[in-house]
Amino acid sequence: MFLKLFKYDFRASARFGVPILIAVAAAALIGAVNTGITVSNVGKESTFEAVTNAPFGELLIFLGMGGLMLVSAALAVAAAVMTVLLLVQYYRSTAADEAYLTFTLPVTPAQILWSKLLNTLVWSAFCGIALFLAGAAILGTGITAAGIAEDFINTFGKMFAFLHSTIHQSGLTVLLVCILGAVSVISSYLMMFMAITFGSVIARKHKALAAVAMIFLINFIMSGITSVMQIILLGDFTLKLAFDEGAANVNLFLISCTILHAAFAAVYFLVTRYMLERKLNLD
Amino acid sequence: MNESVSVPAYPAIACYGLTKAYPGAFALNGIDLELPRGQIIGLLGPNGSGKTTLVKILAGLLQPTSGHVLIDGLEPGADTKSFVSYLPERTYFQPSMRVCECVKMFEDFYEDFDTGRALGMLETLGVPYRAKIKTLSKGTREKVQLVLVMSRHAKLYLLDEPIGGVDPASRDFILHTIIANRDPGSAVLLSTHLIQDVEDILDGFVFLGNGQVITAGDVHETRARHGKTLDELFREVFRCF
Repeated sequence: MFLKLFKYDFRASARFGVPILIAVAAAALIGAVNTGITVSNVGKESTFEAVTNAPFGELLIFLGMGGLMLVSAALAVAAAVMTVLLLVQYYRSTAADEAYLTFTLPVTPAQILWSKLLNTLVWSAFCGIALFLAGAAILGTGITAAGIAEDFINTFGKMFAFLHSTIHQSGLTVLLVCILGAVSVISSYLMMFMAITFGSVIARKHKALAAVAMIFLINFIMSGITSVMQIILLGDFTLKLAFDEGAANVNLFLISCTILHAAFAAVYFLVTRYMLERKLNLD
Repeated sequence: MNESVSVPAYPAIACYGLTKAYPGAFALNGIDLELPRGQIIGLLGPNGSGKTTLVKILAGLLQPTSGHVLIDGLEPGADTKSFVSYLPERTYFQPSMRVCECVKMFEDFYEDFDTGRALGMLETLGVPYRAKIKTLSKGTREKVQLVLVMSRHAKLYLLDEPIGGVDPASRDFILHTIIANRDPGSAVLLSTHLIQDVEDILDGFVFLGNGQVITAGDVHETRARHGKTLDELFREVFRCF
């Protein structure tokens, strides 16, 4: 049943997710063309004066930079829209009319919550990858047009070698950073799910408004609590870092932060599940 | 040779001291009720009498404040949802879904869903199979939902105000669909305040007022005993409510 739930959640998200990914690809294409034209015309000049003295130099710079800013803004908006629509989908299927279907399917609230979480993570990952590829396409076009591809590849090779050696030397630390990042993202989405559910449970009218208000309120409160706890952990470890063996303590700090976020995530999940199971507020 | 005949041990619906309280008010107040299988039972009462609250508790959407409710001997949950077919007042499909996707969804989730029956009814209604829900009129959307709900071979059908706000022709279609498609042995709980329209198809009834059972019984017996139609009795009982 869980896989069936996920399939329908995934399809529902695809209705807005696919157009957003297509929009990101289109923005990347426009950005790459814009960067290519600008750089191939003015990018090879060695000084700013030479650039501005080139034919249509100032106009090209204005259009190039303006275009790049617009494309960057469009990519940022795409990421924001994707996140908002995923949360709207969660609200609709758990607190609005669609909830009548969601909660009369022969599944448990926990399965519903897992499915929503997995779906949100998958589409967020798609969006993140698309944005990364868009950035790489724009940067790659600029580098190629500027004729510095070889230099860049060399520099990138050195960076990669440095990264590789870092991972080789501090593989555990890199792994812990990745795990912490993943757990933080999961915890953040679960917190927003909890806030939406809490808002819709306590509201008699304007449930959507209450859900949005709760996202901001709970996010504000939990950010404060998390920051204070991390500062306490970090303060302790900073002292140890200065006088003790660094790497081991960094790892310990990362593990502590991961446990903290995982504990929060577990609480968010359990509270949300309880509300979905016992406190549904359908009009 | 001994032949064992399986007799269902539990009533279709059983409520004991069922109470649902909201701040400052009781939606249901100590309901005791046992409803048999194989009957169409009208859950009848004026607006605000607690009909929808009771149906939502039976559907597993609301939790009672106190008391117990059993459906086929089980507390409402994921297990009962597999054999309870619920039609809410709202249309619950995503507007961007196609009718065929809604059919597929029911087929995927409910083992008791009869796709052939659903397709037959949709064809009779002339609903375009590939049309998006948002392109259909409100009445057609409600009919699609009713068709899907009644295409399940469920043990219990919970129909919340299925004829509220629809034209008389549609009412006939809805009532005909309910009678023609319910499985023998299954129970139908039909919540409405439009007694006159449903009276002829009911086997039993429950009058609900102010969250309490006012009276309940067999429709034919009650008519004979009081010499009145159920609608007349309803008007008499709820005159003061």
